[in-house]
Amino acid sequence: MAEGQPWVPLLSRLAEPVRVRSVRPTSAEEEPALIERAKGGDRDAFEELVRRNADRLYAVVIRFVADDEEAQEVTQEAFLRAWRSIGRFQGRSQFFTWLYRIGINEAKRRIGRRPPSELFASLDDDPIPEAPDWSEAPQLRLEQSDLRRVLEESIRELPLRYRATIILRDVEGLSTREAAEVMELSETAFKSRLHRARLAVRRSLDEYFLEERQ
Amino acid sequence: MRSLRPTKMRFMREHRWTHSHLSAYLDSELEQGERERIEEHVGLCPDCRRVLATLRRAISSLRAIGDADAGRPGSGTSDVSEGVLARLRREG
Repeated sequence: MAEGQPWVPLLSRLAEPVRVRSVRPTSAEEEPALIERAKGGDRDAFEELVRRNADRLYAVVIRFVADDEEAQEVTQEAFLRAWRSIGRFQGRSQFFTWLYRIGINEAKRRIGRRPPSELFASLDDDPIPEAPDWSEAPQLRLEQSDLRRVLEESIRELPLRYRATIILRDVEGLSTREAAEVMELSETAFKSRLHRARLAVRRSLDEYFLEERQ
Repeated sequence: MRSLRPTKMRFMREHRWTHSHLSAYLDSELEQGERERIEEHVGLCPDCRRVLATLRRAISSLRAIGDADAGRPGSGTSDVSEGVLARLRREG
């Protein structure tokens, strides 16, 4: 690449990989033992797994359903299903991956009962040519603006199969492999959906900053 | 003009390819040659440069939501886990 070009410093910053947050620890050393006990019918062990994972599952589910009440119901239903089928959990995936899959499927099942308009929302991911470059905008700090609201709304407006990719990979911080496993997709298919979802969220921010400027 | 056409076609081909691989680039999931292919095009294309820069910020902001939520209760005393445990004891 040509030295001295104005875009070179920018590009070197852009080339830095986006920081990947490690998945929240849940005393991983003990979890396999709890799972084994729960598989043997030990309810206390399963209740400990609930205590460790319920908030985390709820945080994912709330982004799919209408409100707190429904998210609580979906979370409860997911754990009930997990308890009833934990004997079939073979440990090929991590426990939370298995749990996320149950929770997301339950959330989708409920959303499936709603009018089709919610299920077939369009995905507009083309950049807006006249939008400003907001990559250095100071109001991008989450705590200092209504950016969080814009982001949450843009996630919620995504069609379901795209929404899950961005929640699992970017908000929850799962690896591509883990998130693809939750969604029962190949990594290639997952990456393709994730990219479109990210572009759509990025476009929402284009619109937001365009409005801010006008 | 005729000599410009292949160049423009190549540019557009690279533009489409780059646009569809920006996420993988930011996730460090590309081979070295692919990374260089993107960097070369981004160096020439202001549109892709803007999309790459803003996409990067969008992903960072999404991660920040997760980080903010990571401070949520997880000690097993939350309403969520209490609700699950009550339901389990009733129906499990």
